[in-house]
Amino acid sequence: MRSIVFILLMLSSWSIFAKSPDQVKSAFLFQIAKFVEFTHDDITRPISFCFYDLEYGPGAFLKDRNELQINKKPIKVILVKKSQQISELSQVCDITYVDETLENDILPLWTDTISLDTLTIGESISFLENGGIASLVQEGNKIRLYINKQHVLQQNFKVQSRLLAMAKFYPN
Amino acid sequence: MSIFKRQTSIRKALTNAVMLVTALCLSLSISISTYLDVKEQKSLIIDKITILSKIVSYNAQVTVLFDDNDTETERLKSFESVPLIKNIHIYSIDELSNEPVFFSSFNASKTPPVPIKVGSINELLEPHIKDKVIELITPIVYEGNTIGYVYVRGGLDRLNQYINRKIIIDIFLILFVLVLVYFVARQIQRRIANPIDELSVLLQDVSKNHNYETRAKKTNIDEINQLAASLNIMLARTQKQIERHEKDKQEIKQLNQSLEEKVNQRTIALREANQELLNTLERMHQYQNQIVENEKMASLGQMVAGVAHEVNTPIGLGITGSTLLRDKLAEICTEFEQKTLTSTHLKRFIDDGIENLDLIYRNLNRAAELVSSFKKVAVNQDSESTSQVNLNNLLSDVVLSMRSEIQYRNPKITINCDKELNIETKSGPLQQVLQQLLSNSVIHAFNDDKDNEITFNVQNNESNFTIHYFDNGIGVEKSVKKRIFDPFVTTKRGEGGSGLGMHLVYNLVTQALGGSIVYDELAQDGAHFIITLPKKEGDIR
Repeated sequence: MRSIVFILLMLSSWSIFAKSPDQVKSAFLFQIAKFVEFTHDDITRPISFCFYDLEYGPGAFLKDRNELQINKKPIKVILVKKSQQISELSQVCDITYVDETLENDILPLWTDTISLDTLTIGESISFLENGGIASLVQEGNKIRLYINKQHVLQQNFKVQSRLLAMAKFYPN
Repeated sequence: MSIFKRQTSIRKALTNAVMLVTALCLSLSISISTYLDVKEQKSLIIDKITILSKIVSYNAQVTVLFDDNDTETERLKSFESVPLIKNIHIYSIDELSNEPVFFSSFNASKTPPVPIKVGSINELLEPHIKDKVIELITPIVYEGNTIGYVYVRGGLDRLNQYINRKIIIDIFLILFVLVLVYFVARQIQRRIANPIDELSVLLQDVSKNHNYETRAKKTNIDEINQLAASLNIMLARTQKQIERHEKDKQEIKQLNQSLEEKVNQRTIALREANQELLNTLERMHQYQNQIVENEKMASLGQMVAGVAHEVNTPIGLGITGSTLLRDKLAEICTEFEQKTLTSTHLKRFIDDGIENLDLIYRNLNRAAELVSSFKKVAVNQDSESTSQVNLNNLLSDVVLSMRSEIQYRNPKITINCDKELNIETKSGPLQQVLQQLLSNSVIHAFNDDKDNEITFNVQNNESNFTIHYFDNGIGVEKSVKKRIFDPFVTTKRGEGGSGLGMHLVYNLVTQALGGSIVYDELAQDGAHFIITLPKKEGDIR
């Protein structure tokens, strides 16, 4: 509870210094994880967020927030490499964030068609078209969540309907 | 309740009472029902608003978290189909000011938007009903943190319409039920009131025409049947009573007639008996006079017999003496003629002659005394005239004159008399009476000369005076008490008593003095005579 208050305070404190899209996206990533039911065998395992860059982007805002919890589970920020296959990521990451600038480099490498245990979140519609599950797309001054409904249904985890009700689907 | 106080008919009262009670019950029931219903409806609306508010709040969690007011606005549009909801506002907590700011809203069609209610959050956390609207603010809480608020404004038009509709229906229902009850009451009233009316008519007939033969008919109401039965019993009893009364009256009339006849008969009989009684009384008077005369004659005969008896002895002795003397004289005469007379015979004849003559003289003298006494008994009232006499002096003189005769018994004589008491009487007979009483006491009462007392007590009354004569002698024998004043009654017969003393006293008191004398038979010690004399002659007779 304190952590949520803290992060809200943090989020609010970020806004004091002109809340950036990455800050909003990191908050969204944190919130999205709350509405996803991951299929962990070990119930004590932390919720892991995987980023390709922890110096910039949303990963930079979450990497030091180990005290935050999701459904009474701690979070864990992991730096992954571009060369890692999606199947590998699926074993380690609960949420894998792909920066828009890396989409073209990484997505062609994900050739496995197996069901995944990681929720891949990008930053554009094309990410969804190229096999991504969700995307935080900036529309004007707002960040909107898009979800590829077909891809979601093929994965091992479940996205709560409340999140789906708020999200937009692509393709419709 | 005034219908029960005013003069009214049972029909009207029954109808009014039923209508009133029904109206009251219906009104009360419907009012309570409506009140409860409205309360329930309000409660339901409040619950509904609360539930909807919570649903909106819950659904808004994600949109507020992800700052997706468009999605929320789209979602809120679904409340178009909920007529109750007029306006919905969603406020999110501003990250900069930490104050609620407008996030999304919904306004029902034809409903103007309402101002933002962020200033009234605390007031509207509980449902607030005002001016036909209900307002409620529900916080949007996510994981224990309030991330926003939902303001819901519901319209109570439908509730008001419902209430109005229900009131109208209730009024119609009341009217319908009242009409129904009115007809039912009329029907019941007819069933109840008609038998009562019949009873009333019957009673009027009874009271006006005294028709006690009529009877109440049976109805279909038990209570009235009981009343009718009781009334019939009462009528029957009254009728019987009247018949009995008439019969009694007739009997009384006959009895009166009979009584009058009897009274007349008895009156006649009484008159006859009275007449007979008068006749009898007349005869009785005659018999009484006759008896008095007979008594007088008997008394006279008795007195004559007494006189004869008393006089007979001395006269007989005189005759005997004279006969004996004649016989002696004849013997002497014969001896003298035959010249055989001796001196001895002559001496004896002379002695016998003297003795016989003495005997004859004594007996004749005795006879003469007796006749003198009889003469005294026959008192002549006109022989002395009345005069003023001092009674005390008279008593003293009598005692003084009797001193020599009574001295041998030595009585103590006491006179208690007013010295100034003067009476108008005949002093001679009164002296004679007192002397006789004193003489009697000395001769008959006192046996010796010790402790003898004689007392005169004189009482002066208004019209008479009474002399109480007491002595402490042996008193009067019981056998003599009753006839002490009769003639020839004596306890000293053969001893010189003639039995005429008290008879003489009685005659003197009653005839010469015009008073009365009685012997006190209750006197215990001695004798007590009470002489009552008038103060003036002729007062007592």
